[in-house]
Amino acid sequence: MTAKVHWLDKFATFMPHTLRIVILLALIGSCIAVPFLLVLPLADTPWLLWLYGLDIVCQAGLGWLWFASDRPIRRHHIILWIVSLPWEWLVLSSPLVTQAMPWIIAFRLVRFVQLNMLLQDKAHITYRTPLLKRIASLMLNIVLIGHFTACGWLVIGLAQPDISWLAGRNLSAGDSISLYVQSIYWAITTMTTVGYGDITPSNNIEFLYAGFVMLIGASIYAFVIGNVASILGQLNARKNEYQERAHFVSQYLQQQNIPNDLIQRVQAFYRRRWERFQDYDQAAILSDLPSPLALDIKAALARHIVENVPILKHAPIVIRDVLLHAMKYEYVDPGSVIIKANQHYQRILFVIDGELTIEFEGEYIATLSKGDYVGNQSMILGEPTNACVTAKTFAELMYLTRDDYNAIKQLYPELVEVMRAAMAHNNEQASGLFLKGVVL
Amino acid sequence: MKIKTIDMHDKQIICLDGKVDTNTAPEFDSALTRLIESGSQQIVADFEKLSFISSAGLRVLLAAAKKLKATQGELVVCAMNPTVAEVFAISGFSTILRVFDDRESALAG
Repeated sequence: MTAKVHWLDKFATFMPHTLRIVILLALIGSCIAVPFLLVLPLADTPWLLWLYGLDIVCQAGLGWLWFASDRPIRRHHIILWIVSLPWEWLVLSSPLVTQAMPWIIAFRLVRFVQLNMLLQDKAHITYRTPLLKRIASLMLNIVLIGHFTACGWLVIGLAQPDISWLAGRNLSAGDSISLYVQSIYWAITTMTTVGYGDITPSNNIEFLYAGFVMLIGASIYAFVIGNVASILGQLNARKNEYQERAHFVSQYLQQQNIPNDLIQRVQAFYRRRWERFQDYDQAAILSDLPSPLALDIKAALARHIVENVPILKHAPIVIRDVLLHAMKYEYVDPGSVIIKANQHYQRILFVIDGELTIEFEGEYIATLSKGDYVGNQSMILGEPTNACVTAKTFAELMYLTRDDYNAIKQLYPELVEVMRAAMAHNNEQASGLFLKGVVL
Repeated sequence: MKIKTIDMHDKQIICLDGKVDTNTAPEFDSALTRLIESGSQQIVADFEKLSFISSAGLRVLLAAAKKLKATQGELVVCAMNPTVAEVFAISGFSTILRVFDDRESALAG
């Protein structure tokens, strides 16, 4: 049974992924457009106004998106959203503030913060590759900071064009595109510490600004290098660690003079386990979660197990959950001896995937595959097994111990009925083997 | 173990008292074989007083059930105590043999 979900969270989950991408793109557009609007005459750049309008529409969507999600942090998001509303429109009509209007647009720069919040909003944007997300986020931030720096450099130049860096480049009356290209070029060369020296500050404000950008640039440079190193270090880190562990185990076994075929089995097992599970420790993942949620996840993960394990298939949900909680999972490699002859096998073993062979008095007599079970007779009769069960292929198994069976039966006596229904599966083969004298 | 057979004309009842294990299973096997060879087609195994059954006992039952099935006959089981019923359920044989709660319903079925 799944927990009741708040309708706002349901709505947030329902919101199309593409809408979030559109909002993300609009925010990026806004981060680019706003500094332009601050620096360049609006008439020169009508497309910026379109971006500005699109951003306002998307801002409404973003406000709703954040309101409808992450309830504990919603207040924080809403304050930011309120700040980013187009307040400048309210004051446009007042002649007193008309002069100041372009600077009110600077409020829009809060988009940069919103953009980073959205990029980090793991609850609503799921990244298949977190590293790719980190790289994309890093590059985007670098480009936007470069853009802001360039716009700042340009606005300082345009404030006093005749005595600024613009005069030195004969750009006092340059077109918008040339002005921006030269500014971004200066910003990049300064921030990357290349500093060709072809564009230089010409007045005190520019000297101060250039000094400030150098300091910021050096920090960003260090930040970028650190991040790139960290990202490269994380690439395949999990796989490398796994391979190292497998290598260490092989080395240890060689040192202990373990036969070569056994070592090869260990290596094959490690390779196969990586392909199948990528070394995720399901038990550790589930232990991180509250138990009702972990149980739901376990049931979802175990869908194919439930379909292939007769007792789970026939059990009412309550008993199924208890059984799922109690049953243990095992992944075995070909050649593993699962049950030996003359063994008091105190558990019932179910085959989820793969094949096992049964040998009786040294001869092959049957194969167990998906959905089959073994161990039930030995467990309930209290008699030792007299046949041998070996994994023919890599196999996924699940087992229920006698102790767990008895404990669950104490709580839910109807478990016996569940077992009766479950054990009807494949009982033709089981009875055939039993009549031959096999006890498993 | 004590074995008693009751002739009900159309059906034969075989009552077991005690334990069917490796030592007593041959005796049970002989009793069942005698009934089948005498032409009994419908046999009711009354387990009311049966306290334990081992793999050997189960094997005798299964083999007899198969023999009877081949000649359109049937072996049914009734009045098992919870322990024996559980052995039948877990070993998977309660779906091969028909199981009744008491002798009356077994005779009627």
